[in-house]
Order: sequence, then C-alpha cells, then structure tokens
Amino acid sequence: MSKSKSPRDPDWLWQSFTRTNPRRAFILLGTGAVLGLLIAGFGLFTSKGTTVDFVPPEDVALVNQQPILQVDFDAQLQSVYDLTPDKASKVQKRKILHDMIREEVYVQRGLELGMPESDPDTRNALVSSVEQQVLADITTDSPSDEKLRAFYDTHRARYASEGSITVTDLLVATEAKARDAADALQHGMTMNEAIAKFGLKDTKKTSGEEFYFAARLHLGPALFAVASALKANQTSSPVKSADSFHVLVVAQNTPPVNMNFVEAREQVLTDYKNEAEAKLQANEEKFLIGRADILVADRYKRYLP
Amino acid sequence: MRSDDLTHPSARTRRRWLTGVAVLTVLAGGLVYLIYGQILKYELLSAESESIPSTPRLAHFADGLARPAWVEHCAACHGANLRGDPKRGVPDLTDRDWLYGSGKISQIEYTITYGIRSGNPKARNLAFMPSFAHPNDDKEKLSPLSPAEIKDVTAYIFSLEGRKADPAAAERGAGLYADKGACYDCHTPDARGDHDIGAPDLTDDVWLYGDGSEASVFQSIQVGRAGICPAWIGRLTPAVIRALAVFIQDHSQTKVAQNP
Repeated sequence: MSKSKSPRDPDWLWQSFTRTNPRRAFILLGTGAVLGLLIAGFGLFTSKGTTVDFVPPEDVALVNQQPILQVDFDAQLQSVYDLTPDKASKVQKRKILHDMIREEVYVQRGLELGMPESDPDTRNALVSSVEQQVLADITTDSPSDEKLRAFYDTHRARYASEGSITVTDLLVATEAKARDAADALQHGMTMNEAIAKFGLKDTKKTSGEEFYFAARLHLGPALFAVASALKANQTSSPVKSADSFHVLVVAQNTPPVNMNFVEAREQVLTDYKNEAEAKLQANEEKFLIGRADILVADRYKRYLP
Repeated sequence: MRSDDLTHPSARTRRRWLTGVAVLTVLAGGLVYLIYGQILKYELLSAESESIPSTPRLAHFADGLARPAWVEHCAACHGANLRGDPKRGVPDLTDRDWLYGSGKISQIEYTITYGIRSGNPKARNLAFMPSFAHPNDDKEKLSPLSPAEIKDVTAYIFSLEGRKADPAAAERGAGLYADKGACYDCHTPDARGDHDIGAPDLTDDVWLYGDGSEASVFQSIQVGRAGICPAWIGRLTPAVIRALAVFIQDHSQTKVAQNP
C-alpha cells in the first residue's frame, strides 16, 4: 500500500495537477512573469527594426532596407545611355546598379555625418523639397468648376486679354507749342510735318505696337494713363512733365478685353492654386516655427516678427 | 420516417457536410484567386516592362488592373477615351506623339509615378513655356516680345509646318526664335522639340493647346504654358502604376509602330 502524499510534501507539488495548489500557482505565475520580462527586455535592447530579406518586385535592390525603385533604375538607364531596359546591355545595367547603390550608401553616410546640418547645398535642397512636398497636394489638385467660377467672379478684373497700343511720345519745351502741335496733329497734319514745324522731339520710349504692360513701363504710369484712354489716330492734349510737355500720338489701341470663364479657366486655375499655395505655405511656416523650441538672444529679440 | 426527410438526423448531417464542403470550396477558390492575383502582380512588376505587351497573360492582367484605376484617377482629365482636352492642354494619349520620351512603358511609368510639375522632387519639371506678354521675372531673364514679334514667331512656326505664312514675317520670326525669344533653347534649333524636357515638336501638326490656329499659337506664346500631372507614387500601388503604363501604351499608336 502506497503512502499518500501530504500537500506539504515537495513531490506532491508537481504530481497532482487535478488538485489546486496555491504554491504551485504562485511559482508558475512568477516564472511566466520573469520569462515575459526577459523576452521583452531582449527585444527592446537588441531591436534593429523590421527588416525584410527579400527584394520587393517593384525594387531592384534594398540598401540597408532603403529601396532602389525599378522606375528610378529605368529612368537612370534612360538618362545615362538613352536606352530603355530592354535595349540596355548587361554591362550597362551593372554600371547603373553600381552607381545607384553607391549613391544610396553615400546618401546614408551623409545622413550619418549630419550633412543636412552643415552642408549649404544639402540644406537648400532640403528646404526646396519640403516646400514642394507641402504644396504637392495643391499643385496636383483639380478644383471643381464651381470653386473656380467663384474665384473668377471674385477676381473678375484680373481676367482680360493683354491690351496693345502703338503710341509715339513727342516732347516740346513750351505749353503753347505743345498745344499748337496737338491741334495740328488732331486736324490731320502728319507726325513728320509736326515734328519739323513745331520742333517736337520723338522720345523713342516706345517702338511700334506694344503690349500694355510694356507701354506702361516705357512711358511711365501717368503718360500711359493718358495714352491708353485715346482711340486710334487720336492725339492727346499737352501733358506736363518736369520741364517740358508731352504730346502723345496713338496710331492703334486695342484695350484689354474681359475674358469669360471658359476663356480664362486655365489662368483662373493657376491663380487659384497660387493663392492656395501661398496660404498653405504661410500656415506651414507658422506651424513649424510655432512648434519649434527657438531661443533668441536678448539683443536680437527686437528683430523677431 | 424517410431518409430524405431533411429533419432526419442523417439528412441533417449530410446537409452540414455539403455546406461545409461548399464553403471550403469557395474559400479555397478565393484563396487560389488571390494567390494567383498576387503571382501575376509579382510577375507584372518583375517583368522587363517593354516585354509585357508581348506576354498576353500579363497584358490582359494589366488591362484589368488599369481600367478601374483609369476611370477613378485619370479619366477626369484625360477623358474616358484617352483623347485628352486641347482646351486645357491635356494631351491626346491615343496618338503616337509623346511629350516626354518616346512612348516606352518605362517612360510612361516614370511620368505616372512622379508626375509633371507635381511638386515631387523627381517630377518632370525641367522646363515650362514662359509668358512672352508679361515682364518675365524668372531666372532666365527672357525679354518679353511685342505683339508684332509674336505674330512673326507664329508665322515662322507655320512656315515650319509648310502652312501658308508671310515669308518676311517668317524670316523675322526665325530670327526671334533663335535669338531674343530663345525658343530654340527648349524646342531645339530645328524646332523638333526635346522629349527629355517635354518641349513639343513645332514642326508637326499635333497641338497640345488649342487647334493650331494663328490665334491659339499666339495665345500660347502670349500667356505661356505649364501643364501639370499629379505624382501617383504613394497613392497607387506600383503594380497599378505599371498596369496603367501598359494600358496607356496599348491605346496609343506607338504600340502599332513598335509591333507592326
């Protein structure tokens, strides 16, 4: 007859699993906890991130897990040899692959060395890239016609064809001569006759037919305002400048014509996006500066915006 | 009690078995379909891009993958029939004229991936058509042209195509093309365009903007052009992008030219 074991007997602890044993439960719980902590600790302190051991089909290589895309490889092949992948030789492909892997390891080394912190070219390229990335959604957005039409309605004055004008700017010293010359020109005297008779001088500020913007630049805003108000074959009254008088002779004037929405759509789209981009860029800048921890020296605080 | 009575225990067991087998068959079929789809995607991406049209299985798969993506993402601009819209400068993709490259699948794939002036750093954005009726504030410092000069350049372009143009105006336009306007810089000295930077050939009768009339050519020179195509990297999977490239080439006349 076998001797029955008591709960205090160490052997009994691991033999009768059909009966509850608080001591055994405590030991198992503790062991599980310690094991869990060990696994977690090992994972935490030896972590290398997720790695893959195969190259996805859309890539030609992984360099420290950074993909070199097939599409970039093909473009590089095209760029260097002017060849598509089906026409390139093994040697050419090998060269491109080597170049791209080399570039990638150098980029990664540059990051390790903190090039974005110190190299001006890298910094400029980064700024430019981030600006472009911020705007990418707007750049490629296709706003609805309703939105564009609303924008067009709000800024209708912008949408006109560029006017053109052919104007001659004649200069004379006295107001009396200027008035006589203007009268004569108005009544059919030719410009050459008027120049000879009244001693007018062609300033030659303009040359032939010019767009409004060019004529405005050449004549200045005041004279352009007078000229653009004249019709073809009209002559202006004398216009006083610092020490002389101008007579403007307009041979042709085609004022800007307002464009309807359909005609202006492309320009409206450009303006709409430009405005949205400017807003977004300003907001992004505000956000980035706002979240940055910026300390400014006391003597420079007065320059803060 | 009859054995075909569905309430009979053996009939219920049989029905359960049949249902189980049917469900398993459907699941297995679905799984096979999914795995086959993944295999085809893998093959599509691994294959030499230009060889895909000559592999019917892959070409068919690419077509099926591309069609819904085209409708959802591309048709709004390029049209369901791929014919574009000259009023908005959206190119016709069914002809054999390519702004960028020569219609190879790898080239189309690049354009879809990174876009044109899309804001992506790798986008095709080396050049744009400046506006010659405005003071030009870009780095090139190009001089604006007068209306008469724009008409002369238009006449020169018409003469290149063999269309009726005033010879004197065309001659003046040729001078402007090669000098003040600096048109040659993008469109090349012989005006045949540069497919590396998306400068159109001015000697053919294909017009990206407008109908090629004097007014529309004048308008293009006057206001400038810089069309946009979004970058689809990150928005569409690589497989769908490649499928779209195959789909686009398939609908162009380039395919006919390459595989007569």
